[in-house]
Amino acid sequence: MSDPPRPAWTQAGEGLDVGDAPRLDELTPEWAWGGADGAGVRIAVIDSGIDAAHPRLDDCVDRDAAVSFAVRNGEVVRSDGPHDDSFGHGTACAGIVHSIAPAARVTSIKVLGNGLQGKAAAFHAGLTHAIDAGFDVVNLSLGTRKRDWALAFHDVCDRAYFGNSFIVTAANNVQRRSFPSLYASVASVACNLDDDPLRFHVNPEPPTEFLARGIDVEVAWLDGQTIRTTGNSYAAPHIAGIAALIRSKHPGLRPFQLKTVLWATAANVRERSSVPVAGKLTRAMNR
Amino acid sequence: MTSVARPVLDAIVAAAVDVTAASVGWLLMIDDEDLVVVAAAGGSDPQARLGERVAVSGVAGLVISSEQAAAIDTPPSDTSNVGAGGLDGNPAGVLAAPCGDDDVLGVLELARPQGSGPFTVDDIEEATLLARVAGAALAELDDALATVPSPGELAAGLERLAVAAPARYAVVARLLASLFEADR
Repeated sequence: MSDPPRPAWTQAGEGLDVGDAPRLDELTPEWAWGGADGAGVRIAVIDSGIDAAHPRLDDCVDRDAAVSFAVRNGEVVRSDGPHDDSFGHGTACAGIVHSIAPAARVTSIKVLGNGLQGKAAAFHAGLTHAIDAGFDVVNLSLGTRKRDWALAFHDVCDRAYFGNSFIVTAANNVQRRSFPSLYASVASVACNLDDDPLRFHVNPEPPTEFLARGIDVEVAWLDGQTIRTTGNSYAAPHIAGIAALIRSKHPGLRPFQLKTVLWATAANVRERSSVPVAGKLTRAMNR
Repeated sequence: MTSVARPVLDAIVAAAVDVTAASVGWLLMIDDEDLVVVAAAGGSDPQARLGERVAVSGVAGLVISSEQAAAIDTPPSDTSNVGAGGLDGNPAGVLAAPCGDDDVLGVLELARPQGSGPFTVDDIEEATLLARVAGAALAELDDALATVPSPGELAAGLERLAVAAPARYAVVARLLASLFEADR
């Protein structure tokens, strides 16, 4: 008897190997990242640069792999090699990632602070470079509001998702459009009200999918100093760091599975609790 | 600056200072690769800095580059913030929010002195809301500035009129020409 006709993309599901994929009820923080330190994982921080010599970074930054993108005379210009941090923001994000996944290697892709022209173009070029270079985790504590760039960012984020790079983005600090944080192919993060860096939540109302520590956080900054600061920018690298731990322990997980593990290990899923929301305007709009 | 935009922008900055319990606030507009102080409120003499050009650095620079609001407790030795120049000593906290929608036209920056608490998520939300209002006013201002003819264009137009209707415009054209001559 011949096989029944089926669409060209159909496969017999029984024969597909999913490796040692656990059942949902087996997904716990201990299974996900217990004993992991981020070893073997490469993280790209696309931001304002990183002060690689900052004492909080313990030499985790791969200086020679650093790349900077700027727009000059309408053209995106790439510069390879070490660079500084224009504002402190990239160093802050790298410090958070390193504090959670200390053995992971961090690379700076600088797209902010090289002038005010063509910021979205430089940002897009930096993200494309990160995906082409196959980074395991990409932290984007920035976004663009320009609709003209929406499709271009959508394409590169889809390419990352299917190409096995896990992109973590900060949602805008207030409820307004920001690309690529609105896309399903990335993990978009806002602040919760917790002090515990490993305690995060799932947002039941996407596109922001996860909530992590981002309020009054002590972070590395310019000139070897530390400051206290607040914003979704600092929540995203917490999830990026946790994703690095998970990828370190389970390198075979793809972005879809990684998101599922994050969902299953989120505090409000494990505890069946609701999530307190920061910001009185946000609360009013959610009512 | 147009006479309409100025009091509107001053009122927005004053409201932002008030609702966030900041001590001083400025509205900075992007002009080429710099920022220009176009409105101010709070402090002992906030108007003194109007028209001042500052580099795109510190928290204001970060906000304009990242298009996201930011609130930081400034380390005492960090003088890169615009707010640092408006207080006695460095500010304890700086909050900045981008003005504009698709395009960021400027930044609303607020500062608190040493000894006061940090800015909160509520402060960020309120400042962002007011910065969006300021963005609409800045867009009007930007349009108004873009449609004002340059002195050269004005002189050329008057010269054309002087040729077409000398009895009416010749004196004005001569005056303008003499002014340009005096400038050279």
